[in-house]
Amino acid sequence: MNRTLIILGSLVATCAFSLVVRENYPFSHYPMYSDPNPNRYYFWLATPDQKPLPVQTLTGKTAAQLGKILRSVTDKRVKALNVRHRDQLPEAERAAAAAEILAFLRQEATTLKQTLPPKLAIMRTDIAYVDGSTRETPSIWYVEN
Amino acid sequence: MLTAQHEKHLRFGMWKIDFIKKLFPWPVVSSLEAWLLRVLFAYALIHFLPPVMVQTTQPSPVGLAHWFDFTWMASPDSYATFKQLFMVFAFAYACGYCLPVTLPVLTVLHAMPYTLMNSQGHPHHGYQILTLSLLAMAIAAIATSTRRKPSAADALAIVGVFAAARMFTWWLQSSMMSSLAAWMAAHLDGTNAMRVMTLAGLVSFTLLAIMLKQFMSRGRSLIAEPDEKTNGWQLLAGQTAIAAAYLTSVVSKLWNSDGKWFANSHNVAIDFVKTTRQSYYSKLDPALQFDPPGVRMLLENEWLARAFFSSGVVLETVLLIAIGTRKLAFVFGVMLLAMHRTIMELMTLTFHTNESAVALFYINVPFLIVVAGQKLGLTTSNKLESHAANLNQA
Repeated sequence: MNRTLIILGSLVATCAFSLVVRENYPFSHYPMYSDPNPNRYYFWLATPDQKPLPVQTLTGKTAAQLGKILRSVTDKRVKALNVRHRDQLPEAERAAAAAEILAFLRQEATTLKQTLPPKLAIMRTDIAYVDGSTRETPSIWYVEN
Repeated sequence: MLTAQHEKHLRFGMWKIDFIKKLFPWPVVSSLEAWLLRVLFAYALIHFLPPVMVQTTQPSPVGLAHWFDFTWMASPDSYATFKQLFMVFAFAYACGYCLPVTLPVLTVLHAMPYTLMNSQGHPHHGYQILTLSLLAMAIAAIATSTRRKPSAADALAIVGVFAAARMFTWWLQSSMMSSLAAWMAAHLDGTNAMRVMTLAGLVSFTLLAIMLKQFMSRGRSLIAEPDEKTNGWQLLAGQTAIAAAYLTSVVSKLWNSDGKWFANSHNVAIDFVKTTRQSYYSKLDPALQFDPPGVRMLLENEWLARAFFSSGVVLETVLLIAIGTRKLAFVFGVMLLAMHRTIMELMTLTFHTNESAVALFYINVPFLIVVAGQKLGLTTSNKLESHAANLNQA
């Protein structure tokens, strides 16, 4: 077979297959920075009184990984409930998702022989560039009572 | 009779056909260059392999984890055995032994720890490029394979490969390497100590690979090296896999942004701030509590930000036209390396695996070593004409 056809065909096939199977190692659709948006947000771990905790030191998971875990857990519920966006999840579902995430983090902390505080909070900070400066607005996404 | 417009269309059509014909030229790869590529790539695979696995569950399975449970790798003993097996196949690949078998097995082995890591609900995108390159090379090795009967030489080759892997493991765990690591840690900063230890590992791996090559090409243990067709396709396969990974990222950007990626690309600077914040909240490191100056400049200059981010995406798109070339691949490879280094400075994100793959398959370090060796009269390759042909190639 012609070399040009083989290479072009392989490029198109790999690209199409990766976009279809999305995150299935070793294939990925590489979604990072694919929808540039002026409003972004990130998550971090804190005590119930909003004091930040070094999530990576305590659980081995970075703040970026915490965000990915949160998206992955909530998106399963979004799909199951047929909700349009994860921000529209009912409060009970959000609490169940948060409980699942915090249980996972506690398990990871135990593996690393670290101790997490008895009560935790997941914080969300919205970030935007407005009038020449970055504006950051933290809020509580979930807090254990 | 042809009108001027017809002639213009015809000329344009001919130009298009000519362009397509010139795409992906055949890279004449000497056996020495192919050997260097295999040795360096095999070492990169070993170097980036996770030192330990701590994942005891796979809550969000991906890829092979849909069918197989890989959590046994969290056991230190099991993972040590796994790494030993990986090294056996890495040495077999490095010496070019039975590539249609060695490469597919190495691909599956390489995918295993990263599949478990990515099955934790937070997929990482740093290692796909290595496994995809292996996968493409495995397919190329099968497609270009020729049948031969097993002989006594195979038994000797397998013994040689096992011995090399065992010696390398022994050397890595030896008190001499531990002393060297301790000395480096005491006298150099962390990054430079790591670089020296990586180099020490590479030198010992290469020396063992040379001994293995000598063993396999002598007397009764004579094993034929991969032929020129296999070597050429190995390079093309690696380059194609890398170009496909970058191209997928480009298509994803256009698809997810409804085609508005280039217009909105200046907003990526906000993502850079977000990444810096996430780095801070990971360890509460006060050094990461401020916006890096480069990011501030991009936030304040929308068009500069658009030009900066878009140029990277354009480079990722056009990378495919460098497949099979030497000079163009070198230029694009250097540009990609510069792009990754710039992002690393701005976002404190590293792309070591991408950089290694680009350095080996596009910048073409093995080819540069062979050419430099010939210019200095150090190598006496019987493929001088091949290198001359490659050097004259655009």
